[in-house]
Parts: sequence; structure tokens; C-alpha cells
Amino acid sequence: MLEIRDLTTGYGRAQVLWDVTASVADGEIVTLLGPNGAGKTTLVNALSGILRPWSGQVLLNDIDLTATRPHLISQSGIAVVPEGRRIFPDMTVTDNLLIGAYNKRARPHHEGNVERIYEIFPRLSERKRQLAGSMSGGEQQMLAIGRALMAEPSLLLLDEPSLGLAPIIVENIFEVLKQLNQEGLSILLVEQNAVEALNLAGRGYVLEEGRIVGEGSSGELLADERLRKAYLGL
Amino acid sequence: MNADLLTQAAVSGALIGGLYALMSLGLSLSWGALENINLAHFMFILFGAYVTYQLTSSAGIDPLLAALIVVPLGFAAGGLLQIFFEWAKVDEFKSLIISFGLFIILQSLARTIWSADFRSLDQSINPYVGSSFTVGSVSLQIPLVIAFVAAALIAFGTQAVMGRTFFGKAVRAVVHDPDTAQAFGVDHRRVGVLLAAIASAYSALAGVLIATFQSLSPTMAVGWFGIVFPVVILGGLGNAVGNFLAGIIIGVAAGVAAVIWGPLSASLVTFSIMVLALLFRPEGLFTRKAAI
Ligand SMILES: Nc1ncnc2c1ncn2[C@@H]1O[C@H](COP(=O)(O)OP(=O)(O)OP(=O)(O)O)[C@@H](O)[C@H]1O
Ligand SMILES: [Mg+2]
Repeated sequence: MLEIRDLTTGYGRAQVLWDVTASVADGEIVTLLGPNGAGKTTLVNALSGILRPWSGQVLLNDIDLTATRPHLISQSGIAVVPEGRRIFPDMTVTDNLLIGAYNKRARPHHEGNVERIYEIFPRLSERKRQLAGSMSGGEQQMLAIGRALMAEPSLLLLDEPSLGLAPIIVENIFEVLKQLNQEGLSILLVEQNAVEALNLAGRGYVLEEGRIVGEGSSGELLADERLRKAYLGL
Repeated sequence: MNADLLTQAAVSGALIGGLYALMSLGLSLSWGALENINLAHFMFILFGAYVTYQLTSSAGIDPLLAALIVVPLGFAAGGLLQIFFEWAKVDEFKSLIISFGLFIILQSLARTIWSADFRSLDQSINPYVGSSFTVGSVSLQIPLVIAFVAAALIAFGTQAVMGRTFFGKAVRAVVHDPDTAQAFGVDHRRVGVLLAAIASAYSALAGVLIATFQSLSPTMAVGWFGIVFPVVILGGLGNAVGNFLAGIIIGVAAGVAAVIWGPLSASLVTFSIMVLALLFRPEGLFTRKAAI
């Protein structure tokens, strides 16, 4: 599904990622852990076309995304739930969802997909015509996920979807992710909330200072002494 | 003060307000949606008017039919300028400075081509100028009625496109966050170029309508500042219908002020309205904003 090979990138001249190699298999949930400033968001942005890779390869179902023009990446099957949600605050909930369906592949199905999102997140359906910026943080996060699903992705990238949300909402969102995954969606999940993330995911990577410093099944990572000290607060 | 005179001033003001709105819409869209304070729109209007004048006076084309040539030219010019702005990574402030330079250069080009003398299409070739009809005691100039109707159709049409189509939603998404819009498949360069081209086509059309009833001179564009900026600010950047209503408000205010205090007071009044709007409603009278 997703193959990242020796990816390097950064901002201006400042290199942030160094030879990152990682993968997500079909139907897998993989989590990416790491301290603040490790480069997790940078990696997500490089995958979703917000930031251009400097070198290395990103293959999605054997299509090389590093050679794809940024606005065509969503069409090839990656959708992102960005850090801080980045919904369009002055647009209605429905219009935010429709932007998710902008790419040529998903656009013809936008009507059915909007209905589907409203079934997944009934709270959004009560607020269809409300401006997105006037909603609570949890509702905005649901909207960001809904918008990404509108793109009909085969791989969903989520960058700290639980940040700043009440535990009950986080639980609800993780439940939705689990459900979507059972329906076949592959997921790459960046989380600060490492225990929750490892419980949901089958595998994980640890990123530090722009380098992958550890990887393994959730069980292995949960048992790793050093990790437990650094991220799990155990 | 004669009530008939005031009514006439208000009605004529409202009608010409439609034209003011059309003259302002290009700048409003450019500023609001592309973050370019693109003064070249004044030149798209001026050249729209002069090229119409030229087509009618030398080729005998009906001035309104000249729009079929002038509007596509405006569309192309605006699109090309936006391609340059994208390439040069021009921000809001630089766009103001660069387009001010363009304003000066193109204004002297107009003077070189058409001289500083007033140019106008007289009635022998221009069926619109001087024609009017009366309703009650109020006289309505036909070219202003045409401009008003065109402006109304364009304002509401633009609003519908912005609100209902994928293109319109993409424009609004790009305004707020081009990177995220791009991650969902919006080619923000292409959207920008298309929008700039449409905006410039509107300005060129405003020029065509001006040529149907006004005398042209290269310096007239400077006088439009006192109209266009107040309309753009009052209407709310990028808000097509708000811009149309603001055009009418400014048109009526300027017309009535001219009757009561004399013609020189008109720009004092319109600029005062603009300053009040900037102080108390900087997002314009008609724009809906999120609470945050
Ligand atoms: N837009 C930017 N311009 C320049 N440097 C940046 C930019 N964004 C991030 N950085 C730098 O890149 C490095 C990695 O940042 P990044 O946001 O990817 O980390 P992160 O792992 O997502 O952190 P967090 O857990 O805080 O979200 C940091 O040193 C940061 O200062
Ligand atoms: Mg981050």
C-alpha cells in the first residue's frame, strides 16, 4: 500500500527528515510516535503534498507520489486529517465536506458520501449549514475526518486527532477509526497519546530528531523499556 | 430644496451605483480572494472603455457588441497578470506596489495612443448616449439602466457560482488555506488564474459600459478611486452581492450629496462612508463571518 523509502525533506534549508523508511500494508493501522519536534507533522505533510520531498520515494500502490503534482495526490488515494484540523472556518459544514470530494475520482460520488459522513457523525448532520469555525473542537475534528473520507482514500493520515479533546470524544473518534479500518481503510496515525494509539494500531514506528529509531508490533513497543519511560510515562 | 430634484438624484445615483458596483467587483474579488490589491483593474476598465471607443469609431461596431471582443481581452490580460503574480510570488503589499506601477505605465500608454483630449462616441454611431425615458417625473438614462441590469445579473450570478459550484467552494477554501485545499485536490494556481481572469473580464465590461455614455480621458481613472475603494470596502472583500448593494449606497450618497452640497462634496461623502466602514465594519456591511 504505502512505501516510504529514504525520504528526506525540510523547510527552506533546514533539513528535518533524514532517510525515513517506513510502510503501511493494506488494511493496517500503523502509528507514528515521537517527541515534540521529531518531524511527525513534517512527514505527514510530505505524504499529503503540503510539503515537497527532497529525495527518496513515496509509493502508494506502486505509484510514485514524489513525481505526482501535489494537487493530484488526493486523487491517487491519500487523504489527510491535518494537525490542528485546518478546517475552513468561514465555510459551512457541508461545504467543508464537499472540498474533501474535490478530486476528480471522488467528486462524482459526493452526494452519497455526504450522507454517509452524516451517518458516521450524526453530530455533524445537525450542523450542516453552520459555519465550521463556530463548532466545538471535537465537532471540528469529526469534520476534518469527514472531509478526508469524502476524498475516498485508501490510506488515511491522521496527525494527532485527539489533541485537546475530551476523553469521551477521543474514544468516539478512535471507535470510528477502528470501524473504518475493519471496512478496509488503511491508516497512519500520529499520536502523542501513545498507549491509546498502540492499542488501536497493529504496528508502530518511533521517530526522533527526524530519524526512525524504533519499530515493531504494538506489543513489542508497549513492552520496550526505553519507550515506556520516554512516551508511555510508565 | 426641490423634492423632485432629490428624487431624481437618488434614482440616478442608484442606477449609476450599479455601474460603480461593476467597476469595483474585479478589484473586490482580486483583493478578497487572491489577496492582490490589484490597481490594474482601473486600467482594465480604462482600456475596456478606450478599445470600445476605438472599435466603434473606426470599425462602426455597436459599442455593446464590442464587448464580445473587449471582455475576452480583459479575461486574457487578467489571467496573464495573475500568472506573473504567481510566478513572482507576489503578496498583498507587493501587488499594490507593482500594480500601481502598471497603473502609471498603462495610463501614459493610453495618453500616447488616444491623447489627453476627451474622446466620446457621438450619437451617429452610438445609439445609447443621451437616450432616456421617464417614469413619473424621474428620467432614467438608458445606458445607466443597461449597466445597472448587467451589474445586477453579474453580482447575483457570481454569488451563485461562489456559493454553489465546486469552483466557488475551491476559491473560498484557497483564500483561507491554500495548502490544505491543495491536499484535497485544488490546484490553487489554476483557480487563482481563472478567478483573476473573470475579475478582469468584469472590469473590461465596466469599461465598455462607460464608453456607451461618458467622455473618456486617460486621467479619469484617478477619479474612480473615490468611488471604487469605498464600494469595495463597504461591500466586503470578495462579496459580490454586498459589493452590488454597496455600489448603490455609494451611488445614491454621492448623487444626493452633489445636489445638496455641490459636486465637490461627493467624494468627501463617499470617502467618509469608507472610513466609517473601516472603523466600524471592516469586514463590510454584508459579510457573514465565523464567530472565531
Ligand atoms: N513551517 C516550518 N518552517 C520551518 N521549520 C519548521 C516548520 N514546521 C516545523 N518546523 C521544524 O521542523 C521540526 C519538526 O517539526 P514537526 O512539526 O514536524 O514536529 P512534530 O513531530 O510534528 O512535533 P509535534 O509533536 O509538536 O507536533 C521542528 O524542529 C520544527 O521546528
Ligand atoms: Mg506535529
